[in-house]
Amino acid sequence: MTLGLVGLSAVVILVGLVWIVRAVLRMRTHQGDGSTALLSWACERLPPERADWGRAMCSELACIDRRSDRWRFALGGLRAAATARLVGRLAGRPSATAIICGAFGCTGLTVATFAIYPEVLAERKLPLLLTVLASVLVGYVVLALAQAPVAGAPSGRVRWTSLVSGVVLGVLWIVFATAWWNLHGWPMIAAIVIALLPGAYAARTSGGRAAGIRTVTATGLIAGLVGFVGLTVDAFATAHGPYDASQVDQFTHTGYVNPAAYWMGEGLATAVMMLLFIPVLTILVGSLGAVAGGLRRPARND
Amino acid sequence: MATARRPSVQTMMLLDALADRPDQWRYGYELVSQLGVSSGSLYPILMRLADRGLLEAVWETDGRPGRPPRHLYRLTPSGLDFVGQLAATPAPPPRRTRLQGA
Repeated sequence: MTLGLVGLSAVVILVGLVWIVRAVLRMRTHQGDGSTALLSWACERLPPERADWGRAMCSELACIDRRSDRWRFALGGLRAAATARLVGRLAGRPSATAIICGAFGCTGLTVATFAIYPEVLAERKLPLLLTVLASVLVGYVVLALAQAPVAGAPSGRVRWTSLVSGVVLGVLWIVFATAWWNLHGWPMIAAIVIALLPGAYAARTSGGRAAGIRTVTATGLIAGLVGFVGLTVDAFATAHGPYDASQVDQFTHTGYVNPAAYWMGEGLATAVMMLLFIPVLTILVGSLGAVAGGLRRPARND
Repeated sequence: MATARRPSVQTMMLLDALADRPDQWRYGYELVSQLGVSSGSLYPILMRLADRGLLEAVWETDGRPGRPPRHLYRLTPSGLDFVGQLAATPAPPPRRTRLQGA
């Protein structure tokens, strides 16, 4: 397990180094000093509607003579370009914004778990759990940013479809997993059936399977985040009992001193599993809905 | 009805600086130096004001030889009206903390 963690860290560091080397080589193609190269590289990545502002910052830098002022301006320009780029990617995309905020929220809840129940840190499987959690959350953010906006969507409706349906599905999965009410498997069945709808709706109204699948992907990610938050909050609420006989029996074989810490760790592990399971199932089922929704309209080139 | 948020302190500083000389075109670095803010703070504000139609931006036509033309900024008539409205609206009182209320 330690070897796996080291290997994963090595891969992450290697990918980071490759990215840095590529960025430096790209910067070196620009004429001028380091500050010029840095700002030019940053402004190249601005969205088209902000390209003029990038040229404005670069031309302003060309008129600054003092080296320290140039670097200060260039570093500020780098921040401005990164902000403009991120805002441009998220503009009019409430689901992508929700996914990124949700990923940060999940990270915060995990940190809170360790702060309130530090005994969980001694758990043998914790490195694996954290590796999985970190990888999944990074994957969530990358998917959210990488998805192109739904083309030709009616204003507001399809953009908010992922958000609304993701929350509904997430709540259904929470109700199923926590068994607050004795509903047996009905919440799970409802979640699976409802997962067909957002993709079908987006495909019909936006004229294509691709739009439907993008909507379903965002729906699955949002449902996963809602599920994680709900299950972690439920674990916080129930960690101190009351415990049934099977829970007491299970706890006595763990070696934990504090039952609340043990059940909090179990709850966190379940929440991480749902972070993987919910989007996978939602996307699989929802893609069927997207295909079906796309079949109802004449074929269009996506 | 949505409540309009009051602009940030840095935005207010920029609006006041531009409204002080409304007919004069200003450079970006000139505003950075005058206001004491970083370019990373100033340019997002300039972009937002331009998006809202409160600021106009043009490229200079008679720049220094050997250097690229620079961007120039000044407030639009809408921007000047906006500054006037802000000046007429009192700033909200500072929030009371628990210690202050004790």
